Amino acid sequence: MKKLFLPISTLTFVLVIAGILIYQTGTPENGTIFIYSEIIHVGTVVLLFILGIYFAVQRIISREKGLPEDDELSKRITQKAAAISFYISLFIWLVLLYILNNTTIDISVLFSYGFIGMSLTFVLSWFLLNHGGIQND
Amino acid sequence: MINRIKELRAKYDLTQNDLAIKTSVRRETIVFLEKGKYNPSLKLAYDISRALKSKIEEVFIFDDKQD
Repeated sequence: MKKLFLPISTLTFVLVIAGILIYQTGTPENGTIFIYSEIIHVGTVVLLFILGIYFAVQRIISREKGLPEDDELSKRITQKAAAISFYISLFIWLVLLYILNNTTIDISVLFSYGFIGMSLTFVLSWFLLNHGGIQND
Repeated sequence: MINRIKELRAKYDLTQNDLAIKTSVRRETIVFLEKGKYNPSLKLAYDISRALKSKIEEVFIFDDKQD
């Protein structure tokens, strides 16, 4: 079940974003869906900002306790999260390319969703690995 | 892989923080190891065994059925 959570949640995320994008292209810019997309943009920036603060505080606490800021586990979690998010990002960009070819969406909006998708996938992967640990692959 | 880190740490009256300092890792790594959520590198396994004054095979027990 744990192994299925990441792909299912990512797929859901991709589908929701795709749905919003497709729907948005058919609505006026000041429509309700546009507000949802703004919330996603701002929410992602806030989430990344909070994560940055969290990492900085953790590093300061570790340093004050005389512990290293990074060790083999934290490096491995980051590497694995990066690998997973890269793999999933390929599918995100494929979906976005499909949307680009079949709708009249602005390419800059599409790129922003791609980058947001990549960021959120990395954050989600990192959280899951940081919570569940890394067993022998 | 199962380990006796928690048991041996209690035996030598070491906190997770003490063991983390002795082995130069974060406390979270010791927590993960004790919960069996992470298998350490050979170097870290060796450092932990030395910090717990035990042989490496006394601290880390390979269980083929679990992996």
